[in-house]
Amino acid sequence: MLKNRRLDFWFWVKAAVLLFMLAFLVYPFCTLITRSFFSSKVNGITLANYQRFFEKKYYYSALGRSLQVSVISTGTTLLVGVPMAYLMSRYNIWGKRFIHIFIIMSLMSPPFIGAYSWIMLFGRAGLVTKFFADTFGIQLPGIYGRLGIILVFTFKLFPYVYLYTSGAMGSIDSSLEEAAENLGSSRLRRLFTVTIPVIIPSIMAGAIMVFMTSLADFGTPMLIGEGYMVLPVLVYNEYMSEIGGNAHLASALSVIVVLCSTTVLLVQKFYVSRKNYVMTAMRPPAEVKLSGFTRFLATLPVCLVTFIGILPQLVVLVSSFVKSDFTGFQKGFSLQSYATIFNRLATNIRNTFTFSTIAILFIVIIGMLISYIVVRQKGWFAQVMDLLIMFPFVIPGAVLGISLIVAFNREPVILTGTAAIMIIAYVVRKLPYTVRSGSAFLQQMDPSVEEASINLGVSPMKTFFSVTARLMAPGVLSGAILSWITCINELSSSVMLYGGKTSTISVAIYTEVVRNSYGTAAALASILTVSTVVSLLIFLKISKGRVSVV
Amino acid sequence: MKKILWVMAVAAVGLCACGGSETAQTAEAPETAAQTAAASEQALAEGEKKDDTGEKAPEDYTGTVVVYSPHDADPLNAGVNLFMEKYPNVKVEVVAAGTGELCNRIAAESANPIADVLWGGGADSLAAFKEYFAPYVCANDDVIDAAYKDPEGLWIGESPLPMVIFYNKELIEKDGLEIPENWSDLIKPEWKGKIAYCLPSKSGSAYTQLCTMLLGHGGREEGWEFIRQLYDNLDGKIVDSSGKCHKMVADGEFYVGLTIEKSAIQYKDDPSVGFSYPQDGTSAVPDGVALVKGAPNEENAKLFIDFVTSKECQTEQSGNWGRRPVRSDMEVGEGLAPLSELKLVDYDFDWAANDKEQIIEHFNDIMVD
Repeated sequence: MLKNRRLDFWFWVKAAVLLFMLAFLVYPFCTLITRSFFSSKVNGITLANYQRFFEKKYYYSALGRSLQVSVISTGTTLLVGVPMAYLMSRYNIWGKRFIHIFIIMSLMSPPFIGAYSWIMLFGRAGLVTKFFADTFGIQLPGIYGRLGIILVFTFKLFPYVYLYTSGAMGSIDSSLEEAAENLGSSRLRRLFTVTIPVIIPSIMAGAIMVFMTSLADFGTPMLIGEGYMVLPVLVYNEYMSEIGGNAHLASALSVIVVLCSTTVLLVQKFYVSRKNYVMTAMRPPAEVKLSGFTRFLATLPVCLVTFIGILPQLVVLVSSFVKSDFTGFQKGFSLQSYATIFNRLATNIRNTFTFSTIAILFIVIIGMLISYIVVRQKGWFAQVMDLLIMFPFVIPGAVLGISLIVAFNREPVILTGTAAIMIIAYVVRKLPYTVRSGSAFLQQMDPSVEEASINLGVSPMKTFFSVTARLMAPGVLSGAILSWITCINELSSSVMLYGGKTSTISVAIYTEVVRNSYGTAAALASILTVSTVVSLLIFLKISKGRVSVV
Repeated sequence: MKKILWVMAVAAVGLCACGGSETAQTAEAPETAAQTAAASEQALAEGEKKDDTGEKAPEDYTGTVVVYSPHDADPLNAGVNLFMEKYPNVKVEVVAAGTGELCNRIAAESANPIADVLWGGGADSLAAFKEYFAPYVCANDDVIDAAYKDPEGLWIGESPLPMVIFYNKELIEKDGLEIPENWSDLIKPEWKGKIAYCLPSKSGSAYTQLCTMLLGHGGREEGWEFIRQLYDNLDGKIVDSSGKCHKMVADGEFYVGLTIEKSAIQYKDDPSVGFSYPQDGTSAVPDGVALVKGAPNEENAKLFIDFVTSKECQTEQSGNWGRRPVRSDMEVGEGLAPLSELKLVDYDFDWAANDKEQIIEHFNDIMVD
C-alpha cells in the first residue's frame, strides 16, 4: 500500500513533467533533427548533410577547434574557479560579500557589448594595448584568435565552477575534516584526500556547465575569433545568413554539437555515479581567521581575478557616460545616451522583469521536481530526463528560437509574437542551471531523512514538500539565481521571438548595437547591470544568508 | 520558517500551474490571433471604403504596420517618425535586427506572418528570400529604373549602394602607405592582415562585394584567382559582421575595409578616415523594400512602401543620412559621386542569385585550403 501511494504522486508528477518536455522540448527539436536528414537537392531521407560535414574541411575543422577551445577553457576555469571557491569559503577575505556579488556579476557580461569591451581594451588599437606600446614599447599579443577566446571564456565562465564549488564547500560536514585531522593528516593532504573528493560531484557539475557553454557559445568566438571559426559560429552563420543559408546543413551541424555535449555529459554522469558520497550537512566548517599580511596575500589573487572578470562591465559603465554618435565614442562626457533611451525604457524594463519572474517560478518548481526524479527515482525515465534537460543548453539560442517559431506558428497553437513564447523559451533554456545545481546538491544528501518520513506514514507528496524540498532549497535556489540572472540577460532566443510589444532590455541593447548606436547600447547595458545587482541584493537580504551560494 | 512556508506556497501554486501550463500559456494565443484577425478585418473594411470613396486623406489611414528593418538607428527612426507625422493614425511597430535575423524570422513565421514590410537589406539578400514576399508595384514605379527592382515586383530598390574601400588615413600616413584606389591594390603585400572583410556566406554586402570583385577581375571562373590572393592577404582575419568592417577601420583595428557607401559617408566629418570608389569596377546593387507575403496589415504595408520610395522620404534620407536616392528625378547628396562617374562592373544579378551556393562553397574551400 505504501508503495502504491508513492507511485501515485510521482506518477502524476512524471506525467506532467514529461508532457511539458514533450511539448516544448522534444517536439521543437524533432523538427530540428528530422530536418538534418533532408536536403533540398535529394528526395527522401538522406545522409548528404552529414557526408558533407565530414568531407569538407571547412566544417570538420571547426568541430576540432570547438572541442579544443572547450576542453582547454574547462581546464583553465577549474584552475581559477576551485582555488577561488576555497579561499572565499575558508578564509576571511576582505570585502567578501562584495567580491561574491562581483563574481556573480561577471557571469552576466551584457550581451554583445560586453565582448566588445575586450576589443576596446585589448584589441589592436585597444586602450591597454596602446598604453603598453606607447609607455613601455611592449607589443601585447592580440585578443583575437584562439588564445583570446580561451582567455575571455576563462574569466567569463569561472563563476560557474566557483559557485557550484563554494556551494558544496559550505555544506561539507566539518566532522569529516576533523576526523582526518585527528588521524594526523596534513592540511594539504586533507584537502586532496577528503575535501575535494567529497565535493567532486559539484565541481564536475560546474565544469560541465563551462564545457557546454563554451561549446555552444557563439557570441564570444564570433566577435574575437576573427578567422578562428568554431562550430557554433558556423551554425549561426548558416541559420542566420543574409543570403539564405542551408537550414538542413545547419540542423546537421546542431545535431553534431548536441552529440558532442551529450557524450561528455554521459561520461560525467558515469563518473559521478561511481563517486557518490552522502552526508548530512549539519555543521559546516568554520572560517579560518587570517590577519595582516597573510590575509592580504589571500585577498590579492581573489580581487585580481574578480577585477578582470567584471572589467568588461566597468568599461561598459564608463562608456555609457561618454559622448557618442554613429561613428563610435567621442571625447568628453555626457548624459546624452541616457536621455535618448529614457522614453522607451519603461516597457522594456517591465517586460524583462515580468517575463523573468514568471519564468523563474516555473523553473524553480519544475527544476526541483526534475532534480528529485533524476537523483532519487533512478531508472530509465530519470536517465532520459537528465539528458533531455541539457539539450537546450547546447543549442544556440537563436536556433532554439527558430525551432519554437516553426513549432508553434500553426493552427491550433499560435504563440509567435506573444509573451508566452518568450517565457517558454526562458524556462526551457534556463532550467538546466537549476536542475544541475539541485541534483548536485541532492546527491550529497542522505535519503534516510525522507525515508524516515515516509516510514512514519507521511505521504510521499507531503514528504517531498515538507522535508525534501526544504532540504533541497539551498541547492535549488542557488541554481535558480543563475537561472534568474541569465533570464534577465537572455538575448539570443529573445531576438528571434520578440515582437513590437514584447521587447526586453537585452533585445534593446542588441538592436542598438546592430544599428551602430554604441552609446545608447552601453547605457542600456549599464541599466541592466544595475538592475541585476539590485535584484541580487534583494535576494541576499531576503534569504539572510540561509542560501549558501548567493 | 516563514521563508519556507513561502517557498512551499509558491511550489504548490506552481505545481497546479505546471500541470495546467499548456492550457494556461496557450490561452494567450487565441487572444492575439483574434487581435490580428480584428486588425486585418479592419484593414479589409478600410480597403472597401477606399473603393467607395476613391482617394483617402492621410488621416483616414488607421491601424498598425509592422516594419522589420536592419537600418541604422538614426535613418530608421527618422524615416518612421516622418511616416507617423504624415499618417498620424497609423501606428508603426518596428522590429530592428540584422538582415540575416530578420529574413530568417520572416521565413520561420511564414505560416502566420507577423511582419508587414521589410525595409532595408541588400537586394542580394531580398532575392534569396523572395519566396516569402508578395509582388507589389509601388506608386513611384515610373521613376525607379528597372535595374533597381525585381522583374516580378517582389522587392523594390530604395537606395543604390556602391561598394567602396574605406580607409584609416591616420594609420596609412603613419606607415607611409598609399591610399588604395582599386580592389587590386588590396592584394599588395603591404596590406597583409590589415584588411577588414566579412564572410560572404553570412553577410549580404560581403557577398555582393565578392561577386563584384569576381566580375571585375576575370569573371565567373578566372576571377577566383584574384579572390584567392585577396583571401591570403586577409591573413586569416575575418570580421563577424559587415557593420563592423567600417567601425573597426575607424577604431584603428584595421587599415582598410570593404564596405558600402552609405556607411562610409557617415564619417564625412571625421578627418582621420576616408573612402574611395574602386577604379577597377564597383557595383550599385540597391537596398530594397519588400511586402511580406500574407502581411496582416497589407494596406498600410503598401502605404509604407509608397512612402519609402516617395520624394519626401528619399529627400530626407539622402539629405540627412547620406542614403543615395533610387529615384531618377533626384540628385545624389553631398559628398557622393553620381553613378555616371563611377566605373561599374556589369553586375549579373541572376547569376549572383542562382549560383549562390556554388559561389559560397568555392569561397569556403579557399578559406580552409
